[in-house]
Amino acid sequence: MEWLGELWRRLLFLFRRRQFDRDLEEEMRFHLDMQAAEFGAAAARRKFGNAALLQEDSRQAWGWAGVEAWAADVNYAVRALRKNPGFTAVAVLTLALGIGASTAVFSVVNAVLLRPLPFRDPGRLMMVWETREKLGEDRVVVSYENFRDWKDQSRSFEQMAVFVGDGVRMNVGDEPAIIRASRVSGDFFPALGIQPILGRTFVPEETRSAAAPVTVLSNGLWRRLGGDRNLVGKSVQFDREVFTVVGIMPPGFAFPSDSELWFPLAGSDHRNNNGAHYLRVIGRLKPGVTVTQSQTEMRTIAARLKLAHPQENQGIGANAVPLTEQIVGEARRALLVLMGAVGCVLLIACANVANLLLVRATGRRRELALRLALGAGRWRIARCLLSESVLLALAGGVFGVAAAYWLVRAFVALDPIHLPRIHEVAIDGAVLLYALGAAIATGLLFGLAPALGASKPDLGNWLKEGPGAPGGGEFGKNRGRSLLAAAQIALAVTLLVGAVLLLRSFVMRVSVPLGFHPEGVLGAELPWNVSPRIDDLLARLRALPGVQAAGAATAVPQWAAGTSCDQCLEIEGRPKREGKQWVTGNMVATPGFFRAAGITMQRGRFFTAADGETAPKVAVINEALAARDFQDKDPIGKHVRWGTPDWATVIGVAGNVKGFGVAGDPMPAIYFPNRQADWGNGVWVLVRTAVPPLSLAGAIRKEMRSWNKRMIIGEFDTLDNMLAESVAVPRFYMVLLVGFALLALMVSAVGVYGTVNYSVARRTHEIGIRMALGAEPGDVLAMILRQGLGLTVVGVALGLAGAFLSTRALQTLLFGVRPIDAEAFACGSGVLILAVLLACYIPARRATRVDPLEALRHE
Amino acid sequence: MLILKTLNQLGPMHGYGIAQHIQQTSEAVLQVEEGSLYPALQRMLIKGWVIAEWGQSDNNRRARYYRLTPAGKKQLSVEISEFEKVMRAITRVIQPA
Repeated sequence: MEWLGELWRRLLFLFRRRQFDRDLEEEMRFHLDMQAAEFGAAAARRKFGNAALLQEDSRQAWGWAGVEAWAADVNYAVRALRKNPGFTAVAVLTLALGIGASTAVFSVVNAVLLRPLPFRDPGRLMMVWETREKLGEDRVVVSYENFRDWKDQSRSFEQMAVFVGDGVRMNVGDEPAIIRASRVSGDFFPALGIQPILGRTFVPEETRSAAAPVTVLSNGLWRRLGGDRNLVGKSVQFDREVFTVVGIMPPGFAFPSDSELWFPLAGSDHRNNNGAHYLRVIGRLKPGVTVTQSQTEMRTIAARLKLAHPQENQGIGANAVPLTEQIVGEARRALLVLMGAVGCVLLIACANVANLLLVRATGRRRELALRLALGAGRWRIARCLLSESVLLALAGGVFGVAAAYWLVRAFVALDPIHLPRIHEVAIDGAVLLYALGAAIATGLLFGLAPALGASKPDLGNWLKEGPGAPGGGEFGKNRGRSLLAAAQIALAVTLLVGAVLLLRSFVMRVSVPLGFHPEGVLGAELPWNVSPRIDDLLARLRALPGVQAAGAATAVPQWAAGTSCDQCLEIEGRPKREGKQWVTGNMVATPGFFRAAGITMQRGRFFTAADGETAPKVAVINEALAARDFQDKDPIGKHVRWGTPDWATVIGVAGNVKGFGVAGDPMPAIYFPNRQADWGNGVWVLVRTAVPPLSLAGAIRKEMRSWNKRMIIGEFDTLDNMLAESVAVPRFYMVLLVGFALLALMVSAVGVYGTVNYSVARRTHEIGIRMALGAEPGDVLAMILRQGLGLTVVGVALGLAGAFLSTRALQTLLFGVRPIDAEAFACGSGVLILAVLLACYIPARRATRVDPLEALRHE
Repeated sequence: MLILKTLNQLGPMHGYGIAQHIQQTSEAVLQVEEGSLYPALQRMLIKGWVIAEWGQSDNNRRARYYRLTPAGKKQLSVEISEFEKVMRAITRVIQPA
């Protein structure tokens, strides 16, 4: 209670302090007068001492002195900054760039990496996978038998559930579409810790196969169906299937992979009994069990299962991965790289503003010295300068956040790289806090150098300087500025090297010879059950005006192969082979496919309409397969087979096809004609057009629709676009890092320019004398450049060391380039040295034009 | 404590009067410096031990009178008993046994 009264009186004082001041002053005058009456005026004043100081001391008792002084500092800083709009604008803009960029990146990092997943206690959720030790694969889908054994034998998990992707047909407008759904086991929702907002999740009876079909709806789908609260317990019809709705999920829940519907996964599902590996397993760790413990336990169980079921589980291990790692995965490394890059940019911006402030502080020496001489404490002066810099940084922060807001909105709208959790990205409290922290930290950081400089004053000399006169004998100060410039250069070099690495790797990626001609080709995916009648559809498409060729295959050409297998291909007269070096791609294609895709034949022929069901079996192999399995022998006429009893005759050798981003040598692959082989899952139709391909998309879709009313037709896109999409992620990181690096280059070049320019201005007098004594303009130029070059060499050396240490972080983003790449290192530092030389050259040129007479008369 | 005691004895009094009183009563042994008197008074204002109001001084000038509040009185008795405790302790220490 007491402190409340005290606080109230303190606040009262704050708001009525003018009156309190008057009171105090009058009171003291009264005291003084009374004393004067007693001892005489002079004695009284002597005894009383400094009335103003006393008053200050009395006021201090109220405890607002700190705040008031601070308010005065801020007030003063605002005035000082407003009087110098040019400086302020440059500084604020530089900082806004730095803080804005880093805030934008942070908001993405925050949403994707830092914010917990929207499940109960998400840190305890793990995905459990099978592994294939021989193939080096550590995340393979799981068979039902293994899941059951894991669940029975493991002690680390509270719950263990399986799920698998599914889909239902639903008409959206006139077009049938697939709605993403998941079939999940009974433990699925309890493991995630998600409660439905209406109704319930599945009960054990519903996970028996004979149970009536039930479903849980996502919030979004429920709203699209009308959002009726009484829908629970009723049945909904999707296309031909009818389900009873038992529950509605809360908004935002769409696990896994944007599911809108959940069905119970029956333990006796027909696929569950044939050993198929197709399930994903999620588990919740028991309290107190660590990730490592669960991983160890899963490995032990897998080893046991290998012994118990040597047939089924040969070479199969188990691997538990935290769910966050699973979802965020590769994005983590890339985002951290970006965060580091953007941090470098921010530091460079800091260094630049620090440089500006140093120049300013030098110009303000007289003022500061005067204030020090009048009794201002050093701490007070330093604080004054610091509040100025923090104020600058905060202003930069405000503009930065505004910029980041728009950047982030644009980024989310474009979603250029399909980042996980992209829709959670927003400028929220945490991001604002980050921006505020970044602003204050940068403000203190770049304000520190000038503030420290000012707190070690050389009063006599500073006061003697005329306003704006160039001070001599200040090597120390200049060293500080040079240090800053060198640090900037170092950071910029590190960024540039990283950017060049990504740029080179990107160029490598897109300059891989494709082996096909994507120009003017349109592609779309069709449901696989149309494959038996695909020739009929293709014939109709070929008849459309503007269509040059149409074909279909199990994959688009840049995927190199629809499926691959390391033991399927057999060659007549040779033993069966198995192992990594025998991996072979397999694609089923229609006779028109090669023409539509623009793949060239090296020898022999491709399939024709004559290669039908009853004709002799044929196959086409690619060059890589010919080179691996037939070396210098002629493969044509040889007999091969792929898991079938019949042998097929090789009738041609096709050129290698390679998609963007596929590292290493092209995969050996074999093509079978569609009428003689089983289609896998995908049916991709390719149409080569004589007109701009997208303009035909409507007509093609209409033709397909008239051929089959119920068929689900995927989005049409050009192969060019699909290729571009396949490199969207590396391109995005490349563009961003190159952008940051250029920004850094620019900002640090400006910084170096400022440093050298300032030093030239300061040395005008000296240069004048040198020239008067016979120095040629060339000598002066060389002298100034040497100074700049000194900075640069130190900076570049530091930067290369930094790059050497940090480019390893880029490893996973690189393609065809190693992180320690001499060319990239040389190129990065070369670009920077050029920029710095240019930045030095301009002031150096000015130095050569110094008129000795003018310069000497200057003093 | 001295200020509180003075105010308790004299009733409302201005700063100068307080200083004078302490000096006189203590026979000039205790000099109250202005440099500590006024900050001390301000602190007491904050604590709520005294309140200040303007009044007429003996020589008809406006002067600021400080008056003890009930909280101040309580504080005074606390401080006096504290002081006496300390005094007794010191006396016991310095007196020959």
